[in-house]
Amino acid sequence: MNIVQLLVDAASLGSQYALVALGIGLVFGVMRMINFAHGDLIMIGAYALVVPTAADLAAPLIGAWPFPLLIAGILCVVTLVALATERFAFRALRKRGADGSTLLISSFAVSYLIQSLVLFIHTGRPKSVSIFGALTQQVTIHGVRVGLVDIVTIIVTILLLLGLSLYLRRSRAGIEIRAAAEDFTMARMLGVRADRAIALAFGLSGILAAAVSLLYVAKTGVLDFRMGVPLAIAGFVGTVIGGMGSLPGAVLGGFSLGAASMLLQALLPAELRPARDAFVYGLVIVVLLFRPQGLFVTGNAGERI
Amino acid sequence: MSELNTEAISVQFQGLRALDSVDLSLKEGEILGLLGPNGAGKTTLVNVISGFQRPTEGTVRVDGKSVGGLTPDALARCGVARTFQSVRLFRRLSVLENVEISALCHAKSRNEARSTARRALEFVGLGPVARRLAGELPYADERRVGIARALALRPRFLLLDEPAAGMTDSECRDLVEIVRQLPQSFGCAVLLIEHNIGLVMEVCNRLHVLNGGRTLADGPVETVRNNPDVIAAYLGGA
Repeated sequence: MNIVQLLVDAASLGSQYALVALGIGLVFGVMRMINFAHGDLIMIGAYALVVPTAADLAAPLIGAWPFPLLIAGILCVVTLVALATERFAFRALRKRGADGSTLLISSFAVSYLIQSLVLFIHTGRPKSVSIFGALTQQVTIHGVRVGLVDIVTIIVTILLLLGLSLYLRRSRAGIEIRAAAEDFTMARMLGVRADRAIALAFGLSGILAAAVSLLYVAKTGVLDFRMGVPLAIAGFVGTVIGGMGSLPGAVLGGFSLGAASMLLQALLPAELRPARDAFVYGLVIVVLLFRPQGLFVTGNAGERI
Repeated sequence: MSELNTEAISVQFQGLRALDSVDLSLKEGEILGLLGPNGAGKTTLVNVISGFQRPTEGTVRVDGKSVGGLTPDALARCGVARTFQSVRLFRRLSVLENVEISALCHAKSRNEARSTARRALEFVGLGPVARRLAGELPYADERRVGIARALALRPRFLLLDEPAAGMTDSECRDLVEIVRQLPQSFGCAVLLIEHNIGLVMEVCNRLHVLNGGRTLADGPVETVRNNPDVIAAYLGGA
């Protein structure tokens, strides 16, 4: 395998994980809760492409719409579901002063609820969709053949990150979310409206989840009601190794995790490849032993009373 | 004329009566010093006024209207702002952004918030470092950002919780000047909690002294200063 191909593959999976980790990191920032249902938002977005039916053959639904409408449609569906989970599953608990672990359990409940609903409607058999056929081809750049979908994934991720960082830096809501992510209590004391900041973080995480839905389906062409679980775990681990509460850390942590998985996949001897994840998560443990506060958090960002 | 009152505020922590029927008033344009030995209940009282602590009994009124049960953010919008002993700046935001956050509370746009924030920063003498990351500031400057941040909320009542703690003498003198100008420049009344007696005597118009959760004395600086109870309980022991 060519080194450039390998790097593109690594960057592609890294990008995907970075988007997941950022979605989880945004919500964690304002709520100090790991939203395990984030992976299921991605799954919902993928299933929204096809007609809800128990039949094996998946006829496209939103997936049949013209491209710009398709993107807008999936964005809307996932963002609305994200906002609904916030409104109905988490807000009431938060108002009653639930702590992080209670909210975490609630996010598991939401996750299983969404999975069970999809299982009920679509059955548990994986379905294949070929909606983004055009993306599955290989392109040749300077004599190197790389997957078009990987290039698109990387570009979309860069654009999303730039857009989001501009939004967080320039907009009124953005500065509130950044402040809330660093010190939620203090932000509230200074008049930041908690409900609005949290709903907005969920909305943004929904947009990121929708992007991952589309990129994931474009890459794999498969729908599975459990597809979100490994993504959520990867995103969670990404936020941890990047440093909890730091948004750039989440992006870099997710990216490193994805890139490392892909590199190990290619570089490990063939007989060890099935155990790739053992190596990846072994590395994660080593990283956390040496940098328990995360890879990308600077020393003095810790709490000072 | 606007006024903030506490009426018979009591706070009970399990066995401990932290505040016992305290009446305090803060009137437009004045600088009121809140004094008392450690454990007298000063911070508890400020927590009650700013909505962080629910009183067991009694009410807090702003312009005669009860603000009991309001959350800190709602109170901030009602014109009651405070600083904290632990300043807790957003270390990964710039100094200006730290102040903008609270300016957004009343601003219609980000630009308006930005100019309010600039004005507050210039007032506390930190205009030149507005663009730096808050995490890089020296300690005394952090405290001044804390004051600017409270000012950007455009408070009518500003509660300063030990603003001079850990400051050198010359930093304290700068602080005295800042506090003295607050009612004039920002139209807010100031409640100053401070251990530094010299500073309090210098800037306050009136003193309210707590001891063991009760009001020990309340009145003009000269009267309170010569009150034998106060001397015995606090000044004498210091």
